[in-house]
Amino acid sequence: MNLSVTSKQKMDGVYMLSPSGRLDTSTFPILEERVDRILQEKPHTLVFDMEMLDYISSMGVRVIAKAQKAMKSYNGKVVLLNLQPQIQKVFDIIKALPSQQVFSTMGELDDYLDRMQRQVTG
Amino acid sequence: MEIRTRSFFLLLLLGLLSAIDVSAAGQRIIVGLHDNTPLIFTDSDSQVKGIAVDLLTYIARKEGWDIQYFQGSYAQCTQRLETGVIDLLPGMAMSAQLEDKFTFGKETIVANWGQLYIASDATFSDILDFHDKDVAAVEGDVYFQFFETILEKFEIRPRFILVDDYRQVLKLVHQKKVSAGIVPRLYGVYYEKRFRVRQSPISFRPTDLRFAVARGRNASVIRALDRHLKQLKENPNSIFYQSLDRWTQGVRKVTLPLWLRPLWVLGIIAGIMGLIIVGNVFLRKQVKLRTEALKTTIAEKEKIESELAVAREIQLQLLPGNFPAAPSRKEFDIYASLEPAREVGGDFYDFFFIDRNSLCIVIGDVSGKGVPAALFMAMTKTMIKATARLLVEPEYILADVNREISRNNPSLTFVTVFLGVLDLNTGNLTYTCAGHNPQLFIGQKGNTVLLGDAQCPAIGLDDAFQYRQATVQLRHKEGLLLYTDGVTEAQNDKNRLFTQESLMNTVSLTAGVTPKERVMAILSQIREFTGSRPLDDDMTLLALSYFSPNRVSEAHQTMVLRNDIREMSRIIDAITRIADSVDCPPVVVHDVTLAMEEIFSNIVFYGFGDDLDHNITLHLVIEGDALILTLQDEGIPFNPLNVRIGRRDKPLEERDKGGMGITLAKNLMDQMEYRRERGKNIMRMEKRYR
Repeated sequence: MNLSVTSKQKMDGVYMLSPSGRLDTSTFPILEERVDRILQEKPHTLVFDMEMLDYISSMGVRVIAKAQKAMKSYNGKVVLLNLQPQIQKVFDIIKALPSQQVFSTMGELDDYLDRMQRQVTG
Repeated sequence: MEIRTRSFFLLLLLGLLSAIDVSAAGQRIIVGLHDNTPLIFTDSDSQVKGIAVDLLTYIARKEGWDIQYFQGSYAQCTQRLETGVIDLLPGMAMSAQLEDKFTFGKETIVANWGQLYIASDATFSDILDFHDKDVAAVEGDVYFQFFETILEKFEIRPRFILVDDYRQVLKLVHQKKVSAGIVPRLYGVYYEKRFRVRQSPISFRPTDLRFAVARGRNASVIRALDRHLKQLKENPNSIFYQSLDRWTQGVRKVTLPLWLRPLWVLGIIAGIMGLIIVGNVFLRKQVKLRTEALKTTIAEKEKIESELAVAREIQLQLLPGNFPAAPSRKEFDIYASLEPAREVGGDFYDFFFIDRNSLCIVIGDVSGKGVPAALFMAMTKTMIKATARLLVEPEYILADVNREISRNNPSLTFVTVFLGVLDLNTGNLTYTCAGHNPQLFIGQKGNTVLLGDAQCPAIGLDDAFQYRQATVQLRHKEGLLLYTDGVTEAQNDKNRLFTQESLMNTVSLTAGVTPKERVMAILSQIREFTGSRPLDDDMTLLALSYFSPNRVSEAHQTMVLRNDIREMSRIIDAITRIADSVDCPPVVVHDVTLAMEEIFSNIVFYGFGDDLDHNITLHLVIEGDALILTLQDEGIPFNPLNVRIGRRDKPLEERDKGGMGITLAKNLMDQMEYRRERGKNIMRMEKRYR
């Protein structure tokens, strides 16, 4: 019942967090703390790569929701990547995210980021 | 001078002529000589004699050949003919396979057939009686080969004593060192009085004896022989009929040259004609007799086969064959199958109660096959069952049965047995393996382990053998597979064995099935492997699955938890354990765990309204195909199901906090009920796992 989180800056203004293990009532503060730190950088996109995440409870969903709320104030976006079936199921029940913010591959995400980039620069 | 010259030329001419003469007379033909009276043989004065010799002497004189005989056994002679050491072999029996190597004359010297001879005072009852008896024969002899093949078809297997010539065959029969001997009928007729042996009614393989040369050599010799034989046969007065007359009567008489008694010519011709007619009638009669004998033999074989079918029926009835075997007992399920290779075999299995809670299971394989093995099997099986009820422990049971059988077992038939006693309350299996291959323990997931302990000697060989036993624990839904070596040694067309490895692989694919389905799966896998090849050995399989009667308490648990979210790890352990006991799919475990976390954390964080320690009781139970979790707490009366669920179309970040967890739980479980009873909040959650 552990959670570990790695983070990296994917490109300018795009950060990626990869939680691994169980994101539940006991472990959510680990992710929350990392999210808070990244939010100080005011990223325009925050990617949660869920590939290594086995379990998420409502407290875990809430961390993501909190990030989304914080970023909404300056039009930042939360994006989810690689949802395992049991994680997808939780988000489906809660209907937590608009589908355009969920990507199943890194390629889809890159295309999305490219489009965003063009909107910003173009 | 002129006269001298002339006479010189005359001498030269004479010399040349004589030289030609010498070369013609000197075409040397080496003839293989083997003792095949009266066709060809050496008598006590070392004279070469016989029908073929008479003919060859006559023809050699006509053709100017120089015949030399080279003695050897029949096998040596054929080999020498093939390699060119000898040129000609008289009296070779024609057969298709020999025609590859040899060229046979077109004209038959004499017709012959194989005859089984017995001692003059012996009684002959039935060809079946020759099973396991000694029968003498000449190695490589065509009659012997035929006899062996035909007996093989009837599954009669005498021990053949192979000697170099027919003389030794009859000698052995006379001395009663063998029960019977195979010689050609002409040889037998000639010598039966001298050796004091007599014909049995068994005769077989009528054969034309002819001259033979190696293929591709001496074709001119064979042509000359054919030409002469044909001429001789056309003339009833010829040396051919004289010779036949002289050698086939069994009496050696001196025939005076016929031309010395011209008055007899007519009489002799008539006699020979008569002889031919009588011979013909005799032959026909013989053929008819033999056909009758063969019919009788076949009828007897059919009778035996129908009796064997009845024996098989009886044998199979000895084995418990009604499945389900004990439907009222929920602790185990059992299935067995025995496929005999021949009509009756030596495999067996058995299972029975020793007392209310002890099930005895047995599998065994008696050495040998057929009726004797089946009788031994019936005895062993009965003895084991009778002894098991008295002695209870596998090592005592088998030691006792071994003592009993070994003391009176002159044939040294032995039987391999695996015997186990399963305590249906605890799942403890105590077993002894007496010379049997290690049997298989089957885990819940189809994993197999060889039960290799307590390997003891097979039963029946020595009454002093010691037996030990070992114990293995069967847990809920674990099982056993007992089998005989006919299973692992089932062969396909390429003579490959099915192997224990394939058996274990097949079993590994049968996790969670009933014993019957498991046995059927293995049998169909073996059938696929062996293809059209019939079974070489009995094949027996017995599968057992154990269901612990204590799993009700395993699948039912009450735990007292503190109001601390860290108690979740204990809850997850408990859910996983109970889910595993009933083979819940992982997705069910996930859903139940998540729903539980949502409800439990709700109680921990909001249920009591203080920072004090409280107890929360969790009760887990399997009911039918549902997992039921009940949480009880003595906190503030609170029905989480009444929490207004945040509007789902609202953005995530704006939803009501507690509502999200409740939504998850409600959607993940099949049913949730809240009630307040005696000052307690009681939350019942139900999830079907099938």
